[in-house]
Amino acid sequence: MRPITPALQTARAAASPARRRRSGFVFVELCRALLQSGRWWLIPFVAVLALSAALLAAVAAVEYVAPFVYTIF
Amino acid sequence: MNVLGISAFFHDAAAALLVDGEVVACAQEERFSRIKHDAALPVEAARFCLGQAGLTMADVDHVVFYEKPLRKFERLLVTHLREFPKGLLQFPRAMATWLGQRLWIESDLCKGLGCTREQLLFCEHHLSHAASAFFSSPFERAAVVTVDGVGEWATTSIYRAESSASGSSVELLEELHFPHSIGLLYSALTAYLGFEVNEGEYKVMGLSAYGQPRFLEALERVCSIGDDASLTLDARYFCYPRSATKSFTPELEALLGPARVPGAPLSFPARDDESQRFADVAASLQVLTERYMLALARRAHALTGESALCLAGGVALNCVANRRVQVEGPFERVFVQPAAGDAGGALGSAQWVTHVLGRTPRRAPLRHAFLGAAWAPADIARFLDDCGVEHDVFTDRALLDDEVARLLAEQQVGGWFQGRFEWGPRALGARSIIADARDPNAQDRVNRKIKFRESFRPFAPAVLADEAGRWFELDAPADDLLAPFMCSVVPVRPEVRGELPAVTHVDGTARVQVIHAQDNPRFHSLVEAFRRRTGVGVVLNTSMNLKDEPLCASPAEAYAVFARSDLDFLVLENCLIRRRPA
Repeated sequence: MRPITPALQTARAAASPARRRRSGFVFVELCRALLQSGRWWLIPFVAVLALSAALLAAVAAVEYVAPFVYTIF
Repeated sequence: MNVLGISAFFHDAAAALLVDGEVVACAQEERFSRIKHDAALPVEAARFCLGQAGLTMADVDHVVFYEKPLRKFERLLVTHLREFPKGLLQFPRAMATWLGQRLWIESDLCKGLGCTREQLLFCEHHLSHAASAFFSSPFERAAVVTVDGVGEWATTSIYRAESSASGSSVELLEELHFPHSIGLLYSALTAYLGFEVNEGEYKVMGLSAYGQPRFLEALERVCSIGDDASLTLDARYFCYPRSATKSFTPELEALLGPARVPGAPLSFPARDDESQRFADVAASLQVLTERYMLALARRAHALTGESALCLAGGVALNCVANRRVQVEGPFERVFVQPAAGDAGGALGSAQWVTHVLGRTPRRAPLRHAFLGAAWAPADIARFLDDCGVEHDVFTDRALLDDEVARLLAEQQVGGWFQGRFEWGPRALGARSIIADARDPNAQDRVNRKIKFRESFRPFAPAVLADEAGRWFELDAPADDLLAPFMCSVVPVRPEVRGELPAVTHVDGTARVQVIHAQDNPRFHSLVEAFRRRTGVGVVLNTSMNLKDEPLCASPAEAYAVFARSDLDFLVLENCLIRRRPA
């Protein structure tokens, strides 16, 4: 079992309070949560994912964007 | 302070409403949508809860979601990185689900429920469970243990909770993290035994009584329990961290034998070696689960020094393990919240905000589970008239009870629909199918012709409180907290087992419900009438639903069960419908 020390308790409360200061952007909130939970090294991974998701959404939404996106890969 | 708790998007979505600390209404979405274990946003359940209190969403101070989706997403990313490249095929699917739906939970909640972002709060998954157990209990202070598959990261947690005039607190002391989880082990073996995960776990519990734990040594290789109640699963045997569709690997089959094909026949007493092998695997798993729950209880006691224990989380629905914790564990009293699974998170998250953040004093503990919707007798009579259903209306309830008792004593099986429906998975006398517990054919008949389910599954007895000790080895007052909610399995007294064949499981136990007149008056008066007629204050009580359907909510659904099954009669409030001879 993983003991919860007072310091860890405080850190977790800060990392995920019941009411977050909302930015309105999930990506920003996710990065903030990762920073505060000590898993900041996931942020580049999340950024790549978000970019890929944005590209896929753009390809699906606007037909003539697709050829430009395909050339990237 | 009005607080609406919501659980959704995994399984058993539910809503619960607290008004100034009082639990006004709780309901699972499945009762309205008619989709078993419905995970969708509980729009109808929330609407019902608000309607019950005469509120609109604008009157609600806080809407609380029962877990933190961003932390869950973090777990998903870390797990896939750890497992790389094994889960590569699964990763795009998981991302599609998260990027397409779950990451936008805030806006989904606002759109679906009609609330604003300012009203929204989020509570950790296991904290929701812990709060639901503690704030529903009668204890001023207690140790709280929550055990389920997985929340955000935690799979098992130990808390210390207390309430006083100055406020309440629920303090996390220790936790166990994914992927090590007794709940996920139970689910993986549920899948191995050919049952549906998140649905068939209680079938595994029922099946375990037919077996011997001869695979215990093998399972100890899969799962080891530490001195500090930690649990370590050997990753070679499981693939749930990287797959959403399969939870165990071929190594597990090499260890325990081939998995059961879903739907393959299981017959008991075992007519074939395979049925017996599966029962033995279930029995081994059950022993391991009980051993772990006991270790957890001892650890919680060592950490907190409290005399009372509250249990929640899906594993707390394992009534056999609960009983062992109560009898063999170090705590004097044990309480299990009746909706201990994920649905209960809706209640717990609302209670946490109300009592811990809002500092609203606690009200009376939860003494019954009748927190759902009710239908007026006049509306029911009108519904039956409109449908042209022949029925008798009883203006005197005592006469109705006498007539139903007479039918039961003639070994007829009937439906019993009264008042508000139950909170949690158990039928406790509001939406029940009832039969004579003395009838040796009742179990087989209800399984085969009424509920159309596996023949090995047992039925529960409902017994009058003043007669419980005559039939069951109950340990009052310790059992007073578990038995009213059917949260414990107790031995039937050996000398009377032959008198209650319909409700005595193969191992001589029963998942008993003790009925108190002050908490469950209508059901109590019916069983009292049955006792006057037969001398036995026990009836068989099972949920009013057919196989793979959720429990009934409305009179129309109850009538649909009656029409599609072999029930002999149906009572809808004060209306009695009898099956006409064919």
